[in-house]
Amino acid sequence: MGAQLWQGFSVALTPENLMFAVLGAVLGTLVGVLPGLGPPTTIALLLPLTYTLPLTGALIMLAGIFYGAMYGGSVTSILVQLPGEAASVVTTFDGYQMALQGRAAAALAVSAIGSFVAGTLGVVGMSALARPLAEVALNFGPPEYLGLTVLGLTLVAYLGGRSFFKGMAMALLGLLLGMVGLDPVYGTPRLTLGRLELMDGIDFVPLTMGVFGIGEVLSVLHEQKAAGRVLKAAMDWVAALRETWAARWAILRGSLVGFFVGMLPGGGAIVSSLLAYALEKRISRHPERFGRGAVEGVAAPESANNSGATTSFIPLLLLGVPGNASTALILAAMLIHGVRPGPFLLADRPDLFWGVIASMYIGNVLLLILNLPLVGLLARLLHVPYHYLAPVIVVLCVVGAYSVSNSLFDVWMLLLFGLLGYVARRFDFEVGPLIIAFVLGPLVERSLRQSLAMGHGSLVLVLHRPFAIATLALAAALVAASVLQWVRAVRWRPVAVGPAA
Amino acid sequence: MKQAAGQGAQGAGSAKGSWPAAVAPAERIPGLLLSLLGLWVVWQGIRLRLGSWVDPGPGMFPTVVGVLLAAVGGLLALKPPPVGPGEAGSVWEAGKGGALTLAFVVALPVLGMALSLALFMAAWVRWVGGRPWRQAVGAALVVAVGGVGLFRELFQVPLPVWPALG
Repeated sequence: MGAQLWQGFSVALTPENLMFAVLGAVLGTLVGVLPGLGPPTTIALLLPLTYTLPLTGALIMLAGIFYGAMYGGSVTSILVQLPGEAASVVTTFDGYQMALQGRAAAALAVSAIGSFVAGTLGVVGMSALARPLAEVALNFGPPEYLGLTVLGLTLVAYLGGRSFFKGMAMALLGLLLGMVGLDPVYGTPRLTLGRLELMDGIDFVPLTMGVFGIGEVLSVLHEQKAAGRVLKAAMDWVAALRETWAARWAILRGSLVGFFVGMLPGGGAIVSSLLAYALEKRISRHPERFGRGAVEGVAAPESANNSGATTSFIPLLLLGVPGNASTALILAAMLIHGVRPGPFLLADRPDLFWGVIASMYIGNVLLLILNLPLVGLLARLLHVPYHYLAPVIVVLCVVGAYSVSNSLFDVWMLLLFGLLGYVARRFDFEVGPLIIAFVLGPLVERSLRQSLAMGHGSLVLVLHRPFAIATLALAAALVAASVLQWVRAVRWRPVAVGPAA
Repeated sequence: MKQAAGQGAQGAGSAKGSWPAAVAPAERIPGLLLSLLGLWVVWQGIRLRLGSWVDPGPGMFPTVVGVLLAAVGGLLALKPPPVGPGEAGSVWEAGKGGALTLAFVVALPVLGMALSLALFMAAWVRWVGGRPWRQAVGAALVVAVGGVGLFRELFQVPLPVWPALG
């Protein structure tokens, strides 16, 4: 591991890749600070750029945006009670309260330092687990990939939103969109509505830019969210560091929660932060402090979401299975460059694999340097009015979609998916499962075809593969639990509600 | 649409026995649409060759996914999950943004990048943002110049800069 990591550093520390790491970290922090522009949207907007950039540099930059956004999102959560991105929602519970009590510097410090510690632990863990996990993954065949992808989609639907069936509906819709085009075996057009332009399938860029970019802009316009009062962060660093030291065990616990949960599809930053907060509150001797400015209420979720964001790269790089929308987009960038992530990536492209991991070490240091001194400047970005930001996002989406194949058809697709994204949000459907399923769809279909072929038309073969049966059984259990919950919720006997006895 | 529906079986005062008909009709629409989409996909899949499990035809997998989608859509239509307390929202505001975006896309190949960007930005800042004309024009100039420089000169996107004449 040491020699390979050293090789990775030699890749990551080239001037070019260092520049991409800085660019990614800065962009990511800005993205995290600005509400309405989450990591998936930014990655989607920058995807066309990856066509022209070298792959290693592009991945380093995109990864930087992803975990940088985790840092930046905490600033608005603490100063404005407005999470810059979804994983920072939990930070608003106690972070804003700390700011109201004049402890904003402490909240920001514990968030930045906790994120640094957690991110570093995450990267160290990834480095240690990479080779053993790759060796396990080398034994994966079509049944294992079938089980993994089905479980992944089920988990994303289960964990990604308030309703399992809404999440599953979006995942199924994503699978369908992924099938548009020519059948991979027979070459027969499927679901193309007779359009020549759809013979090659739906392009990833208009879909993601539409759903995340245009859809998000329309949703923000609809909700007309106004930023709350922006609190000033008086920088009492001595007190801040003292409070950070007091929260050291919460930082460690949050990091561990995020490390393991982040590896699960559908886990990642959001679920990690929720679980870490719940754990801290549960084990605290004074749980009544939570929600009123408990420093552990900031330390744990911030550490967890950063650690989770880091380890979500494990299933992406080693198995080729993205666990959230951001890593799904990064997977798309890799596929566009003709690189398929998976267990062979470690052997075939060690420079790429270890270069990305090494850049994460560097990125964590950069983000700590950026966040602490620049927090005042970052807070000023909150004053950028949305009526300037929104049309710029729209323009980037429109031109970005056009640039895919210099066709206005892709722009019309962008608008259609923008409408889909808006309507989905209005009806409380998560769009993440749609994107993940769209990316995973070809792998699901290929794994199913190959498994059926191996079993001569049946999936009995799956019963002889422990990993496959375990993952499919878990997916079935989740579905069954959700259906049972749904059945219980449906009452067929009207019951009169009278006055209490 | 994110309304305080309070229609779950655990809603206060409803005890056990909330008939699904208590759900607002609008909440069923997504489920119905998804179900219809699923059925349409099944029909399309059957029209293509289904094949067999040993040799799946081009219609097999769309049909499987279509059946699942129709089923899930049906469940959602029958008993939509309760939504959380809603935020006051304005379809009109979103509609303004959507309409301007549409106009921008229509204008782009006809008017060229410079004029389309300028008009789009000015209209957005003025009409959606409610800002004075001075700010709208200023933003329009910045975005038009910056946009042409970025997309045309730097990224070589082959969009016309000026209106197509003749």
